[in-house]
Amino acid sequence: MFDQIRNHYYHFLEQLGDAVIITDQRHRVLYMNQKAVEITGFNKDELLEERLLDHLQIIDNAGTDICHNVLRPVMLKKTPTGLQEGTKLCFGNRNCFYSSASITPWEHEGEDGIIWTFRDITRVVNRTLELKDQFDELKVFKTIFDESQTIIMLLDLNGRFVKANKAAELRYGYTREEFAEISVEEIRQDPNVLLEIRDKNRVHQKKIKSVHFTKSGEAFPVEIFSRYINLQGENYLLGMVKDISAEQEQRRKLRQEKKKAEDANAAKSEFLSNMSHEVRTPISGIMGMTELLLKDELNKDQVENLKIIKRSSENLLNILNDVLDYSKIEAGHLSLNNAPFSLEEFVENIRKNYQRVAKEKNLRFEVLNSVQTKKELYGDVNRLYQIINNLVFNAFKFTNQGAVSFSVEAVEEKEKQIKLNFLVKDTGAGINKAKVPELFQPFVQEDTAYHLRKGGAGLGLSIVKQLVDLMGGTVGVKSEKYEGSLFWVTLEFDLVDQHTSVSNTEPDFENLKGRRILLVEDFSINQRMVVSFLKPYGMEVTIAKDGKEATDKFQQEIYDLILMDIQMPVMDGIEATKWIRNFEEKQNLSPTPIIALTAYALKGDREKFMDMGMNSYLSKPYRKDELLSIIDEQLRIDGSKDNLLEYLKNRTTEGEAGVAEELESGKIEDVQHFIQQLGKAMEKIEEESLENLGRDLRDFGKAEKIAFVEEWAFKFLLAIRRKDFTKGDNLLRDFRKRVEEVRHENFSRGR
Amino acid sequence: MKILVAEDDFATRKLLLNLLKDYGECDLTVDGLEAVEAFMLARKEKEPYDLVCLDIMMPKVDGISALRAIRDIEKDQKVKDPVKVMIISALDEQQIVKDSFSKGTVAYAVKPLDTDKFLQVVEKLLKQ
Repeated sequence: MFDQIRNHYYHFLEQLGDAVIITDQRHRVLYMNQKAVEITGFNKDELLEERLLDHLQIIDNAGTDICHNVLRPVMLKKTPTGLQEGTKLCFGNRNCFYSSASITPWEHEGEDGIIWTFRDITRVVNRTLELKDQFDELKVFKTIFDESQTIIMLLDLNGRFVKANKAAELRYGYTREEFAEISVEEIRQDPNVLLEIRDKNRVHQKKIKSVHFTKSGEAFPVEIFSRYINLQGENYLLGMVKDISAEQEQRRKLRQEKKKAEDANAAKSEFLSNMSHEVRTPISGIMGMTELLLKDELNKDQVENLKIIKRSSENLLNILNDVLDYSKIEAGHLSLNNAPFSLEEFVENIRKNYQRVAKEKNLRFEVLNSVQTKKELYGDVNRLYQIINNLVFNAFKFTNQGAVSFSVEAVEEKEKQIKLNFLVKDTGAGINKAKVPELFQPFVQEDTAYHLRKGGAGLGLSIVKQLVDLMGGTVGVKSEKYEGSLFWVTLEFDLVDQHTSVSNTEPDFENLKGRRILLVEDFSINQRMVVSFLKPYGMEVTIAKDGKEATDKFQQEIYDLILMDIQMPVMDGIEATKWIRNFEEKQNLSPTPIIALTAYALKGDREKFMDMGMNSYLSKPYRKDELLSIIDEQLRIDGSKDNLLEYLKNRTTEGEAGVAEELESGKIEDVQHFIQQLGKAMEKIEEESLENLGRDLRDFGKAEKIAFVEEWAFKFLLAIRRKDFTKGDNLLRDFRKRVEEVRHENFSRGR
Repeated sequence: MKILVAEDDFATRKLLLNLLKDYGECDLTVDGLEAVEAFMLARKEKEPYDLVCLDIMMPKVDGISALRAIRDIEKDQKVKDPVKVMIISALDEQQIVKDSFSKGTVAYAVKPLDTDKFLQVVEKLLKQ
């Protein structure tokens, strides 16, 4: 019975899933089961009776044999022990494996030993290590995700946040928990955003610009890279968001700087223009009055003095013109105005102009034109006059005896071009050779003392040089002191064929040159057509093929004008216009003119388009000149449209109806006071008083809205100004009478 | 003949009056607003001007705006023969000259005036 049981146990042990080795006091193997044979790699006969410790090493995860350490508590204290995680059992040179084990002392009938129970857990350990590796890697990615400066978010297709990183939490002000509660509509306040996310025809991956909102409602511009990803069979939208406020701020600053520079340039040319007006007006007053005086009966001395005044003013004007021209050239505001002209006529005019001067200075003026062509030349004749006048004028200025000669010769004549040499020669003082190179510099005269004697701002030759440069020619001088000078100018002109020469009635659209136009149009043939219309006029055309692209381009560049197609895919012209107007308002930019291009134009459409933020519209198909005119018109409107006509219309009154009502008794006294004073001034014909009183009375009539008074005062003023005092007198008499009548009417009506 | 002059400079106004008075009644105004008002008044009185001479740089309303207003009024009142408008200005930039022609100017004189040439043009315009 007992044997039977023992036999059973023996078989149980043999079939146990764990390896079992039993040793005696001296570690000799008493027993090992079948599993132990399998995993140790030793047969029973190889180990039985052998000292187990001769064949076993217990290796910790540092690679050290810790066998004795492990066995110490078992041997000394007779307590069971196990193996630490990561410990290997190595049997001889055969099998080595991670193991979990229990090492238990046994005692029986005075004998003792150890029972080793162990199993190979290498597979489990390896799997754990693998998982740990994976876990570590995940940790790396999580850290990257969390610490990334770029905002990263993962959305499901309902727009719910699945994940958002720390950068997102920081920028938007939502905590991780709050993100889990909200949808993308909270950060992008665009009613279409969900439709966009769910769009069946979505682009797998795209880059867009938009505006996002933080929890506190702050808006900031962003650039979003988004792509759809599949995680465990579900589709998600991965978005990487870049806050581009700083970039935009930078761009805005650049824009501002650019605007400033442009404004400064505009201010400069306006200053030049004003300058020329401010100075020319009084000079022209002096000259005009002098001329009027010269028509009177005067003695010889008076005539001479007046002529001196006249000549001095002419000189002053010339200097002014020089300075202005020079500044204009310097500022790059001077452009050539080319048109066909006759060379013959030009030469003849120069001859005529200087005949009188030659006679006065007792010099000969020889003019020779050896150019044979009968064709007209194409160029800026006014600038050519300026060049030659400057040279001939100088020649006369510095020559006291002998002759000045002006000649034109052809250097080279082709079928369509002609190169001409203009020569101006004098027998004057000549120029010191050393001074020649700096002759065409501004403010240098050969002898600075000439400044005092000969006049001139010292700009003449430098203007000549600048103009010749502008016309693509060359200018030079050959001179020796005391031997006169020879100035030459070489210029090339196009020849105008008589048959093709038509008077230039087409507006030249100079204003359009260099303008930046954004063309928003999806149809490539239309794109090409518009570009071919605009390019020849010097406009830079950028094409956007839909509204979305237009808004993107608009943020990156400054355009002078936008041509906006209405029907387009993705984002239509109306939406794009709204977006642009909104953007301009937010960025504090002045509105860019937008012209709608539409195939459907009906009555009242203009108003409709205006309401939608467009400035004008053009219905397709349109002609080239229509397009150019409308662009020209829009570029000229400076935003401050004057409402002069409205103002005038509101003030127009009809006839004399209601004069009595208009003139209340209190005001009649004021008017009669004016009449009295006007009467006094009229007696002695004090023009200045009459003018002032007339203006005051007219202003009074305007302010009090008494059209009758205002109109009368105006008529009176005009009569006085044209010195028709008889008419003025009559007007005053009638007015006095009428006012008296009104007073009676009012009186009788009990006012 | 009736001529309207708009000119803010006193001396030029006097010169123009002296030059033009021999051709008819010459009304002087001192800014663009007065000029348009005088133009409207003359139309109302059924004695319209035959020639209008406008300076460009003037207070209140500049010459080009005045010209535009005059043309708008004529369009409004369906006037068959628009008045001849001549610009007299110290400005001589090609752009401004062209611009004023495109807005319906028939002649452009640059100050200081070459009085002989100026009168030739005036005579020609008044004869037309």
